[in-house]
Amino acid sequence: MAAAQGGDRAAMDVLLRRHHERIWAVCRRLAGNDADAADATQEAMLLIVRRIGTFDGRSQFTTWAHRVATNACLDELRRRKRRPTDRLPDDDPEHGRTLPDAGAPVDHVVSERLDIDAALAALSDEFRVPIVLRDLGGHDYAQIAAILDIPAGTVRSRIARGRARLAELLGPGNQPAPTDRPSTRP
Amino acid sequence: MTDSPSPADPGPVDPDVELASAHLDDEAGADERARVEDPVVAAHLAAFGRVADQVRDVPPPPAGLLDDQVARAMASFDDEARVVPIGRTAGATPWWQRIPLGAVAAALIVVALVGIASLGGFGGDDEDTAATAFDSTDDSAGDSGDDSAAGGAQAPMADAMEESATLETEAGLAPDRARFDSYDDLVASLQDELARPTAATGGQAGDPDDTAGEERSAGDGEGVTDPCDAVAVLDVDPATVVLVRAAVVASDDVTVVVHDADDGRRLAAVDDATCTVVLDRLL
Repeated sequence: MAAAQGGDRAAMDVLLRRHHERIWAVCRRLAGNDADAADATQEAMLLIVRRIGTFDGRSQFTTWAHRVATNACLDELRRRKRRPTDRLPDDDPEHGRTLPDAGAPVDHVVSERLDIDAALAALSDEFRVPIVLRDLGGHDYAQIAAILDIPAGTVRSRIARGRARLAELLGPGNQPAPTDRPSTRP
Repeated sequence: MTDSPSPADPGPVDPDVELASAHLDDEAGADERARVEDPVVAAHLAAFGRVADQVRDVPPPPAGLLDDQVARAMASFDDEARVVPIGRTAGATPWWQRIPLGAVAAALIVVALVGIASLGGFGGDDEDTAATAFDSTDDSAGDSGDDSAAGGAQAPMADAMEESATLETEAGLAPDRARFDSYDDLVASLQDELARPTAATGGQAGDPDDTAGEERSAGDGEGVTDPCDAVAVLDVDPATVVLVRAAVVASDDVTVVVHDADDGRRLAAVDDATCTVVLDRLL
């Protein structure tokens, strides 16, 4: 890490490769589709390169990197929401799917068959982000609190509340069929 | 250990739900663990375990994405290494050690000239003495183009201030940042400022038919220390930008951008340390 901060190209390359998969996983779950996740992951990696000089060692590098990556992902997604779409729904099945609004009542969305992307999209950022940082980032509550700049008790209650909502949305009757798709578990 | 009720968090979370979730994450206290055997808590625990499994079951990145993205990031790394940083570079040498002495001397001379100009030819205009916290050197630089409204006596001062702002930027000095305890204070200050008729325009700020306003908008932000290029970070059309300012909000250095969007006039702030958006709302 110190070598990368000092301008060592090889060290930076190793650092980026080491963290890419987990940043991808976090951005993928926050974005809900591959295309937006890819752009968000790229933004996050560029930001880590540009801002590595600001890492002061007071937290773990992973915590810092995920803070930067999470903010980059959310920024990218906000920008996309503001931007008029230039894709037709038929171009990409992922974009063609209609996700429930974050603020939609549970009764409205629960009647549909939801997969995990749609269920996460039904949560607002304040619940979705700590869950993703916990289950994919592998951070404990104190680290998530540092990343999001909120108290650890708030992290705990938001994760609990978000999971309860997800369990409701993904209830036994709405579970997606298991697939053979490989996964990227931390 | 629970949130206060709010529109976002309606009421306290069910203790069984919170315990099951915390236990799943190995964050439950020793006194709480005894309650995990409770059938209701156990049922929540099982359900949350299934949810967590699904959250973790992330599709792998597309083939080649890792190499592509690392290559692009490394190209940026190479560019960064070639470019001498300007403005604030946290973690590097403190700013006061990077100020060339010559530039300090030049800035002091300019400040002295400004003082002389204001004493000799500027008689304490109420509009300026009642300036808001945001009225700093960059304002004067941006407003200096309209002499007919500002009056001839202001021109030397405006020129001097503009020169001062330029010198400060060239020397790597941040212009004085307005300080706010909270974003609410920042919003209130900006609302005041933008609602106030200005001497330069003689009308409401942001009037789309006001060409003087457009000139001011284009000039506003000159001399502002903006290490992240906030307008680019926000991905807004530069033509819609009303103002760009450096500020300190609750000890964080931020660059504030006011711009006109489809849904109205928006206020955004970009954290100068992380180059990320920390505020984006209608003004």
